[in-house]
Amino acid sequence: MDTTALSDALRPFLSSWLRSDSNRLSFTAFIFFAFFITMVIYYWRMSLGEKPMPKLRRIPGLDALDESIGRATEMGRPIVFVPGMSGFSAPTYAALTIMGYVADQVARYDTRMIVCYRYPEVLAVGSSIVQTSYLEQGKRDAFRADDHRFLSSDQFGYASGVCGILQRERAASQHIFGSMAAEAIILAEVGNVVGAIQIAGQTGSLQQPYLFAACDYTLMVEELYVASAYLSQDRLRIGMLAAQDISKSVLIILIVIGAFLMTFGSNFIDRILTLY
Amino acid sequence: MRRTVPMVLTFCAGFIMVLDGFFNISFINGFANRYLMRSVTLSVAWAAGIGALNIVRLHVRNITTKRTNYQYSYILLGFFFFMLISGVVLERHTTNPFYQFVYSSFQAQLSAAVFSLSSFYLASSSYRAFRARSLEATLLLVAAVFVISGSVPMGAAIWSGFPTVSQWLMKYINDSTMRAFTIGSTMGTLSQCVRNLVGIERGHLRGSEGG
Amino acid sequence: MEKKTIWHTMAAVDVRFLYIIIVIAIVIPLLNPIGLPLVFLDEVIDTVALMRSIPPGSLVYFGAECAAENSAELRPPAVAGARLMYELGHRIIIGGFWPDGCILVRQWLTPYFEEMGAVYGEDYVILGYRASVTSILDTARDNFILAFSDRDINGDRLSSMPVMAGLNKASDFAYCFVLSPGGPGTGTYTTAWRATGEVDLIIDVPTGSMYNSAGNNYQSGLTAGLIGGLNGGAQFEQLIGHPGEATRSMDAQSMGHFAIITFLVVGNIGYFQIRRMEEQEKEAIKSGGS
Repeated sequence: MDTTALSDALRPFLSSWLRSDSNRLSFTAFIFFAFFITMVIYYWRMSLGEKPMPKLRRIPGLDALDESIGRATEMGRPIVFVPGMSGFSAPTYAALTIMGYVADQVARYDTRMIVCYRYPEVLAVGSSIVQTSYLEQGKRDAFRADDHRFLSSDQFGYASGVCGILQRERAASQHIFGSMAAEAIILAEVGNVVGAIQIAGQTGSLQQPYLFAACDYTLMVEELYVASAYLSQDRLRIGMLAAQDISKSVLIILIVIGAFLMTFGSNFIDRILTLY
Repeated sequence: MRRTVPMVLTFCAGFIMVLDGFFNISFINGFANRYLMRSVTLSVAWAAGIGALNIVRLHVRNITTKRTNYQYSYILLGFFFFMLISGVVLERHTTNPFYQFVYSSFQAQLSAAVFSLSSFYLASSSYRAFRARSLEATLLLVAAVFVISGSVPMGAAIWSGFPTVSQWLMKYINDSTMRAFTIGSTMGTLSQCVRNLVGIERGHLRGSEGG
Repeated sequence: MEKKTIWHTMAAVDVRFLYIIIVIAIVIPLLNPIGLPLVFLDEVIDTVALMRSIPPGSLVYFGAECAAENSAELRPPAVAGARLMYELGHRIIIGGFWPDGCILVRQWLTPYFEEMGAVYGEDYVILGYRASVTSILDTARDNFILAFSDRDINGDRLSSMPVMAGLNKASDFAYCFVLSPGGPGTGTYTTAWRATGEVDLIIDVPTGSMYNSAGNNYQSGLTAGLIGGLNGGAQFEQLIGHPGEATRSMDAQSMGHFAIITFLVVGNIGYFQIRRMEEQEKEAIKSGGS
């Protein structure tokens, strides 16, 4: 099927309002985004009704959060929380969501949590989150501002600082969530040496192997983003995950069909995706 | 109010960036490039001051209350103010040869040393973690041996097939898995960002929200 | 009482013993090089061919995205790349968005530029660190000089330098040579300049840990060249005829890798031996009990 005519017909209409890119994927990206938003709205409406929402599968890493908090409480040793190496990005927001949950528990059980920040803007928000948890538990005075430490913006200065805290404080648990870089293996191994139970979750592909090897529980890629829905079992958040999974399924179907057709010499899917 | 204002600001700024990303609207494109993106830089620069204050406050408190190892706080604060004042006062600031000398003698070497630790930690974590406990673990172990051997000259010297198998594993198994990770990560990021944008995710605004 | 065998001892070995083995494995080849021949990968051969195909006098953007901790892996390909660019008569514009990047690259390259007779301002220029990578790369699409405020790392005017002649916007670059230990890195330039059609050729020079994902971009054609890790750097040095640091380090890297493989093999042998002994003990207890 010749898609050139379709592409030529669409170009004048689209070029007036849609940005273009040299890979000719801007129209496809726009359609995909519109589809995703449609799914979000659909599941949003579904969450307002009474229909049962899709079930989330078990995620051992998130189930282990309570176990790690309990261990720290029993041993009387602190939890070290690392909310990632990037500033305000999607993984950091996900890490802060988990930190909010952990903060609720530590405030309830009077467990100490030391949070190590690489970026001061994240410190401002993170310490506020934890302080709010203590306020809600009626334990305003139990909040320790000194346990929220900006260590360094330098990657390995930060890693050294966290390792020092792990070893001096003999942490019982270490939570590494967010976006990590080469220091991931250093943090995880030092946590191992001090005998901490370690739960890690990060969204990129590069540090996953190191965290798998060194940590007790690892959240893989998207599982980090699932945390807020999983921990709260909120209908709306579960609906958002369902929308995400449906959109991903569409991509998978396109990949499978495209690979199959390409194997037999047809680049139809490629031409449809690169119309403009 | 404390939560509503940030949520409204987030939605407005995010919506403008989405429009800028997809559409050719000159007013939106100009506003996004000239003001919104630069405001991020400004706010991050301002936040650097918060970090410095946090460090100073913590270590001054260590010294005044004589906490354990408080002596190291003197050293930290000494170097902190030394570099801060040098970078401001010296001619040409951070490109001054003296500043550069201190930077490359201390900071650069220490960073490189700590980074080098990762090779040792990799060895110890591999020794501990790579056990053929199951079929999948065995396949992983065999693949690891081929990739590690094939990526250095000694592997090729032992058996000429190591580099070929290693490249095949990297090109067909590893790359396709990395693509799957990238797709999953991107979808998750998209979902997280939309949730932040429309205010479903408010965990960063208030600690106990979101479970 | 459980009998402690050598396998139990090895399973519980102090990790510092492993570190000592790694140190010995790396230091000995550095002092007494073995000289193992390299295997040349197609991607590095093609990258060198690509650079050689660019005519003399072309403008090249050198992305100095690196920090001190990446020196070991990125200095060799950076030096080799700059050498080749100068030998081919390319005009080198060095810029970066990592705070230490331009300073480090200046330290690395200045001795080699002086040795080759390259003149600052005529053959190469260093733009210096800038914050706000996205807005600068976007602005550079229309006006490169404005994007970098018409100032180099020393504060001198870019527009007065002969090396900048003909450079008005990003599309004037023949290719980009980007060191990439993380972000901002090749991905940033790919998004800002490649995806928008400004620069078609981007050569990716990732560290070993970034090499995993760099292969994707190279395979799909987003990047036009790939020189990955220290191994890639060593091949690059050999192919341009100037073996250097990376080549000398390959023996040490080989021994380090084989030390790790030894740990894997010995660790698994020990694991299976311990498992076998535990099963035999269980059998003995069961048969003794019944």
